[in-house]
Amino acid sequence: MIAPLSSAAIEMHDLSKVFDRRVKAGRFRRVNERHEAVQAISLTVPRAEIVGYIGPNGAGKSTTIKMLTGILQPSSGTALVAGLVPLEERVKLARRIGVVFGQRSNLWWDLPLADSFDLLRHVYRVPSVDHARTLAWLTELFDLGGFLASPVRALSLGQRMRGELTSALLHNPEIVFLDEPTVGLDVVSKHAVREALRTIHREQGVTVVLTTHDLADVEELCPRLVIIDHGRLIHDGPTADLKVRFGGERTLVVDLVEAREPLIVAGATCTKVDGPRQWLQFAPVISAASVLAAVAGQADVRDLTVQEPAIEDIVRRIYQGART
Amino acid sequence: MGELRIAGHLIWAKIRSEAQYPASLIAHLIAQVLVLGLDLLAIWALFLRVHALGGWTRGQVLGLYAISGTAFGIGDLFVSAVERTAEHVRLGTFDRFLLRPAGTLIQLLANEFELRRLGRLIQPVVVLVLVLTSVAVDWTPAHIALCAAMIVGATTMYSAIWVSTAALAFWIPSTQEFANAFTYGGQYASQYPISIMGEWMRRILLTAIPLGLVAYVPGIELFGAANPMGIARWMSFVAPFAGVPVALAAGLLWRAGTRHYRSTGS
Repeated sequence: MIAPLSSAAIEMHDLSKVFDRRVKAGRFRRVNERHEAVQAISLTVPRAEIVGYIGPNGAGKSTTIKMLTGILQPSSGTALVAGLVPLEERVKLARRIGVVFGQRSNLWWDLPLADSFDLLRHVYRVPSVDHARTLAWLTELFDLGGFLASPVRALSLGQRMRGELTSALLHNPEIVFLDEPTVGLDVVSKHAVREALRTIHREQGVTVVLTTHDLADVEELCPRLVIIDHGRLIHDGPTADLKVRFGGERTLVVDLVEAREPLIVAGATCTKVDGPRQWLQFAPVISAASVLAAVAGQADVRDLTVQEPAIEDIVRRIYQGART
Repeated sequence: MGELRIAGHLIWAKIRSEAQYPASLIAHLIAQVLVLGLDLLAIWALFLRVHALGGWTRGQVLGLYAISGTAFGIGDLFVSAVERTAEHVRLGTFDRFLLRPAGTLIQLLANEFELRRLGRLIQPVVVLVLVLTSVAVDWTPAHIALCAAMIVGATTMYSAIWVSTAALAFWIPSTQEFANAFTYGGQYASQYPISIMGEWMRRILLTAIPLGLVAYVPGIELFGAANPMGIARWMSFVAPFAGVPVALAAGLLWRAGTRHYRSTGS
């Protein structure tokens, strides 16, 4: 690994991107419309961290990644990636980062997968000894052996994605940007990809910025979660804290010995009654035990379960909160 | 040089993938040789009626045709793929070139290389060899250098026109037809002695799109051909270098285009 130049892998200060679009305003008239895709985002990602970068469609995720990888010029603010200004030092930066856009391919369609890797070795000018070593490692990690000789067009989606990830990692980048690396994959492939990413992170200490729609990716891989919406940063913190902070309400489901009118428990609300079964929703600050104790004081409980809030629900609530 | 080596590897890869469909490749090559054969037939037919064109004999016109065609063929093979820029900008796939540690133009050209474009080069080269060995060219070292300079100069010029018109795609999404007027139109115009054309057309070919400078003007000296416009002899030796400033301008336009792309996105 290259010696760190600055302590952080990525630093953004008030990073913004404004697009001016010509929009129809009547039959012949066109007016300029300003679209603030990214609005003053400040964020620091330390080295060797995996951060989940999520938000609804059009939130500005891709625009941010494009500014960090040297594709787009920021309208204002600054970004430093691996200690470099992305646009000014594009070629230098390109050697030190790896990028996978799940919807676009980095590989040569008609050539065997192995040939794509060989071409990338030339493009990135990786010495062949280093290349062979990295490729051998990644081949094992992503289990590519069975289809290295197949043309990319003949690969399944899961195989292709493993190939894409390999292609982004072959030049030993310090930082990788993964945009939807599990999109469209089946459960088994998703699991394999996540496992491999975890291993790479552990063994190589790479910094990973992961954008995804699949929150299971984030829960399994990213200790830190950043959420943006409408170009603004609306949450940045440990993924584990999310449920506590955003009032992810839990639900105590009790099966009573006999059916009765909705229970009245301080700190909890009865949301549903179905025969002897009742659903009691309570805030994260209240313990399940105290709710249960209150219920037990009023009725005989035969059985119970506690439902954790789904991370999807929490994130949906955050989006809605930011919009109102 | 490093960039050219990268391009070499990418081009070789494209040839290998194209070779997976050999029938298509061969059919394309044959079709292009036949289509270009019609050009030759047109010149032949013309000289059944007239004995000279702008004072040039059939051999001399064929020589000009072959040099211009060879240069266009080389440009077509290696550079014309730049017209795919519009597509890459529209689909956002241009991003990929910006993400890799090499120049965007050279990556694009190498990635879009197609061996089947070789078809445009085969016929002019054959004609060139036949004409240059049969037409009375005084093969002094100066004339050998001049002939080479014409081919290099014209190739540079065609390539520059391709790159410039393709670069417009960074601002205006569909410029293909407009671009073709300059590239294919220019090629057609530079096959013939420009002295036969109208005043304004001659001016364009000597200044704005100076294809006349890399073909006709040095051709006068090389073939010892008629010079009704009275162009100075030294001009014949200097004119092929007109490709250099045009290529530099094209490079600047490309750079401005990529800059525009990076500020507006796709």
